Amino acid sequence: MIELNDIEKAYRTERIETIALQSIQLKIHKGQFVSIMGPSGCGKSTLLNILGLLDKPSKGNYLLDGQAVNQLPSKKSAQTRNQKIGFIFQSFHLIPDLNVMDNVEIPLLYRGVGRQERMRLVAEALDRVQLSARVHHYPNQLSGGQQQRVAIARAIVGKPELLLADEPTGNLDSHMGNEVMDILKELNRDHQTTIVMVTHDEHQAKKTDAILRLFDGRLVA
Amino acid sequence: MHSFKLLLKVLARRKFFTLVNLFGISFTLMVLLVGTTLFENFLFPRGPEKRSDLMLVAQRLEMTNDDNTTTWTSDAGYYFLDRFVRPMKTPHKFAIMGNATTVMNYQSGAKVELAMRPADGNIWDILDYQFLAGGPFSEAQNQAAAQVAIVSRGTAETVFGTDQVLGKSLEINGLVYEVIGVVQNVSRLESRAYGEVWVPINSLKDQSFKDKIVDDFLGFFLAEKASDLPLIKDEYDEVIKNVVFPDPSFTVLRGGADNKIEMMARSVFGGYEKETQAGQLLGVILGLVLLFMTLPAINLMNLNTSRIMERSSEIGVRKAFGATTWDLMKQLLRENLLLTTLGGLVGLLLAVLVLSLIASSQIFPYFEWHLNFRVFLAGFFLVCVFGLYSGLYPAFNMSRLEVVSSLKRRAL
Repeated sequence: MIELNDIEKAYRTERIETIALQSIQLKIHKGQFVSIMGPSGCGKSTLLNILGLLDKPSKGNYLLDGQAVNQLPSKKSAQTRNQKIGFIFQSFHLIPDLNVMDNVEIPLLYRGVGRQERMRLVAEALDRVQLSARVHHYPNQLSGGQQQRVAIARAIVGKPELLLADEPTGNLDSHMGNEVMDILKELNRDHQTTIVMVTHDEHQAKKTDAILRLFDGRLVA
Repeated sequence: MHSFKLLLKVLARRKFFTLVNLFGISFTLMVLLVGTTLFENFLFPRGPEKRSDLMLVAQRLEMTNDDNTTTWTSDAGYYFLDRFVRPMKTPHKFAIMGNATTVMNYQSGAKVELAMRPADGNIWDILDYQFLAGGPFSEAQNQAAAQVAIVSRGTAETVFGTDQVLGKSLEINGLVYEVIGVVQNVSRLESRAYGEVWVPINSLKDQSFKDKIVDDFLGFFLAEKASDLPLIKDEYDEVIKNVVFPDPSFTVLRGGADNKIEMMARSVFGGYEKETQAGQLLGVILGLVLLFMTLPAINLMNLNTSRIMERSSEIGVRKAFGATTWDLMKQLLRENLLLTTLGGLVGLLLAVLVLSLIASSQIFPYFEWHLNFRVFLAGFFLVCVFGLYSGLYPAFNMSRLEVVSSLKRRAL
């Protein structure tokens, strides 16, 4: 599913060069649930952004489903994100001016899905995160856990093969965090969705198939 | 729908700011719509000048003596028009009418000022004055210096207190005229046809105008078809070059036969060449319109830019889930066009209000305005230009935001 060869990411300014990632070799198979751990600033989010085509590596190759994607033109990478990848962020990033339904349907809008079909898929996704009763609520009318579940519904509404989660439980208490992890586990188990999750929480990481540890931009385990 | 709902929400977030901007847009578009309507009514009149597309007018002239020491600029003189222009072959019809002069009338017991136009009997074939009663005087009556007058409805009501005035006597400059026709009031915007009383040229007491090359008269040409207009201009140019001056010290005459926009260009830029700077005039007008739009457009750009910063997280999310740069630009332009259309609608209402006020005040006497399809189309075009003008830069800025950095901003 995912193959990274010798990936490097450097941020250059006139005076200094900061290496965020170096010599990353990584294979993640379809249907795996992998967590990435490491201290702050070790490059976890950078790696996730590269995996999600939100950022480009400075060097190296990235194969997604056997296709080289590290230097795709922006339109193509937008298309690939839309078709294959779903994102879950630590701070949810729901659009406050839109209700739950309108937030969840966003990926489908850029896929040109008709209104009827969108409503059906949104209902299905909300059902999976048990929020069907909240379709017309706005984000500020929901608890943190519910907001994250809406964000998950948005991430899975287009049935992506790969789900990238950046500290999905980081802003939640342990009870809500467990709920969110249960949903992710279920998605992974029932739909063979590949999931890569960045986390600081050892307890949650232990629930995944494998833990990758990053230190100073290098994979150490 | 998605976009419309979102726009309303985004606008409602900063109500005061939005209101100020909406006011700016509405006010700008209102002024532009009023301007467009006046301009449209000027260029495409519905009154006596309704055949403007087939009309040319010989008006401004410049006469210079042989050693270039004396230059005389004025409107055309009767002698020039009657003797040299009237025999022209290319015009379908030709008529002479003097500029409006203010005359006094005391018949109603109060002093009434009237705009009087001395005309020949052919003017009625070129200008479509709408007769409410009676009819025009003929060229034969003009030749016979008949003391007959045509009055506008407004004049009839002011002087006689009624519009049943046929056969009544009207005193002008110590002469008594018999009213033989009443015409619909003429808007001041139709400056070439405007008047309140029309009398035969030959009936004027002082006939000293008859030997003048430059004076206070206009020559009206009517072409049979639009393709004849350049031929008339060419022939008029020949006539001007070959004029024989009664005063032999003058040798050069310059001027041109103009349509409405050319006449306006000549009065703005001056010049007595055959060709006017009508193109430049339209350019200047367009430039002024753009300049006038600039301030509210910059305001809107600022508002948009600050909103984009507030919405950077939304933009990040949309990009992450597959929106292309073009998708996002379209979204913002659509939102902006919706906002400007909203402002345009309010502007349209304001324009109707202002035009009614202009019509009921007497800034342009007898001005009747029409918001027709052409004005509406022009207004819609202006709204679109404004929407794109003010939206493109912020949209471009927005589309360049990097997903990662826009998601890091937490300003949702």
